[in-house]
Amino acid sequence: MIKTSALQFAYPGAAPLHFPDVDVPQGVTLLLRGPSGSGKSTWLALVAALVPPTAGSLEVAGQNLTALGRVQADAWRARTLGFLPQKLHMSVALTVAQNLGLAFWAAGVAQDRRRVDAALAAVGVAELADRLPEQLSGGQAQRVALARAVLMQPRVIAADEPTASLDDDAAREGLQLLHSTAQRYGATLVIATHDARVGDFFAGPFAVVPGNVQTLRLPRLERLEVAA
Amino acid sequence: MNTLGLAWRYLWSRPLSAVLNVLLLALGLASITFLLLVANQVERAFNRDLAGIDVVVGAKGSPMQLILSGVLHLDVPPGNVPLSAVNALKNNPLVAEVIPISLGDNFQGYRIVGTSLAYPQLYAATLAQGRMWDAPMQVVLGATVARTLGLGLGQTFAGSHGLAGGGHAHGDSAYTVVGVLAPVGGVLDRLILTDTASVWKVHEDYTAEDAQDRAAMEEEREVTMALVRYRTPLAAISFPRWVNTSTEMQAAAPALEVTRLLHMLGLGTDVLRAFAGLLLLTAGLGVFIALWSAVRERRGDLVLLRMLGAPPTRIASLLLAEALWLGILASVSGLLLGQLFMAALVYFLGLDSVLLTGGLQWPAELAVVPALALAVSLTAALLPAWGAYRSDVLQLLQTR
Repeated sequence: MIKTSALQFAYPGAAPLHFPDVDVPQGVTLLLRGPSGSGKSTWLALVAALVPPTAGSLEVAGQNLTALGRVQADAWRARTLGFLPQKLHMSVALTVAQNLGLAFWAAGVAQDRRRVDAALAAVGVAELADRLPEQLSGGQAQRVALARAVLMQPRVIAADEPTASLDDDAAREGLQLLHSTAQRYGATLVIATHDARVGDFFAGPFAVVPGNVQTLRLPRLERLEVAA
Repeated sequence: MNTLGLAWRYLWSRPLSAVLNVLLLALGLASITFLLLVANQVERAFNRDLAGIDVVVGAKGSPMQLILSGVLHLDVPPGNVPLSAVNALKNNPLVAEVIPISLGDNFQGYRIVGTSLAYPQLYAATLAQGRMWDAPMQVVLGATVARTLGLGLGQTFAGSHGLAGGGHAHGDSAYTVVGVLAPVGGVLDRLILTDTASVWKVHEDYTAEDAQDRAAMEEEREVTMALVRYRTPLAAISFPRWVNTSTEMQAAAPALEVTRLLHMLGLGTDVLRAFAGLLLLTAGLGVFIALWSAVRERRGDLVLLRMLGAPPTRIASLLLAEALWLGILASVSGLLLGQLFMAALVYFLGLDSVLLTGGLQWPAELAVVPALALAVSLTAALLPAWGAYRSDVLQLLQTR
C-alpha cells in the first residue's frame, strides 16, 4: 500500500513540487502518469525512500518513510521495493544469475541460487540463468530485469516507463507479465509512464475489479530550473 | 558473490584497461623490488666477504682501494709492504691473527693469492677434493675457478704477471693443483690460493741473476697486505691510529670503507628510486583515471544498486575492493618482475659471487612493495569511491 498526504519535495533553489494525495491499497496497480519533467521520477524516488520529502507524510507498505534514517531506508528498500528501471542496467560483466545476485549483495544477505532460479522461472526465463546480458533479446532482458525486481519478494514493484521503445504487441505482453507477476507476489504495482497505451491496457480487461487500478496524474510543470 | 568477488568481475569486465593498469603499477613496483634486491645483495656480498676481518694493513694510499683489492678482490692494490713490518704486527698485543695476502699474478684472469692456511679458514671453506697446500707452488682452487677453467687435481699451469688476464707468463715456474674448495658463495670461489712463498719464488726465479742476488731479494721480501683480526673490539680505537702514525703502512677498516662505498652507490640508487617513484605516481594516476571512468561509465549500474538497497558505503567499498585487486595483482607481478630483472642482471653480467650473492632472495625489506602497491591503488581509488558514495540518485534517475 502507498499512502501520501500533502507530499512535497523541493530541489535546491527551486519552488517545491506538490504531489496530489494517493491512497493505494496493497495489491492494487497505480499508474503514475504525466509528461516528461512533471516529477514522476521524483515521486518514485520519494516512494523508494531514496530522498526524504520536504514536507507531508508518506507511508509505503505499512512503513512511515519520514521516520526512517538513511541506513534504515536502504535496508527497507532492499526488503520492500522491487524496481524495474527504464534502462535495465544489466551488468555486462555478470551472467543473468549473477545480475540477479546483485540484489542479494545490495541487501547484504547471503547469495541464494535457488531463489534466483525460482524468480527466473516465475517470469518464464529459467533457461537464461547462465547467459550474459549481451546474449539476451530485448524482451528476454526485460523479463530478467523483472525477475531481479521480484527476487526479494517485494511488497511494492515500481516500473519506470516499462513500455518505452516496445511495439504494441510487446508492450501488451510486457504489461501483462508485469501485472500477473505483481499479482503472484501480492505486490502493489506502480507504473510511471507517459505512454497512453498503458492507460488503455489497464482500462481494458485488467480493470474489471473496481478500484483495481488507480491513476495519479501529475500536471505539466511550468517550473524554472535554477542551477544549484 | 561477495564484494571482493563482484569487484573482481567488474575489474575484468574491461580486461585491456585492467591489464594495462596492473602492468603500469607492476613496472614501478618491479623497479623498486629490483633496487631493494640489488642493495640487499651488494650489502650481503660485502658483509660476507668482510667476515671477521677487523682491519686491513697495507701500503699507504686510498683505504678503500686497500679493501677493494685485498678483501673483495675487485681492484688493484696500492703497493706492497715489507714482510718484516707485517710480521711485527703479530707482536702487537691487540692483534689476534694476521693473515698475509700477496697479489701479483693471475691465471686466465683469476687471481693467484699468496696467503696462509688461515685465509680459507676465515671463510670456513672446506675442500671438495684433494688437500690444502703444504709446500710452495701448490695451489688450491676456488669452486668457480675449478669449474670454469676445468682444472683438476694434479694438473699444472703457469701464472701470468698482473691481476687481469694476458700478462707475461712465468713459464718456468708451474703451479700444481692439489685441492679444490667447495663453493662458499663468496670471494674465495674465484680465487686461486697458494702459499705466500710461492709468489716470492715465482718472481725471484724470474728476476734473480745469481745466488747473491736471490739472498738480497729474500731480505726484501714483501707481501701486498695483511688481514688483521683483533683480540678485543677495543683495539679498533687505537690500533689503526698506531699503524697510521708509527709505521710506513696504513690501516683500513673494511666495515667503514664498505659503508662509505655503499653510501656512494646510494647516490646512484637515489636517482633510480626517484625514477621508480615517478613510475608509481604515473601508475597511481592510471588507476585513478580507470576507476574514475569506471564510476562514470557505471553510474546507471550504481544507481540501480542503490535502488536495490545497497547503502552508499557498500558501493564505495566496491570501488575500493577493485583498487585492492589492482594492488594485489600489481604486487605479485611487480615482485616477480623485479626478481626476474635481478636474475637477468646476475645472469648477463655474471656478477654472482663478485658483487652480488645471486639466487632468489626474499629479504624482509620487500614487504614495502605490497605496502606501496596498496597505498598507491587505494589512494587513487579514494576520490572515485567518494564520487560513487555521493552519486546523486535523484539526478541520475532523471537523466535518461
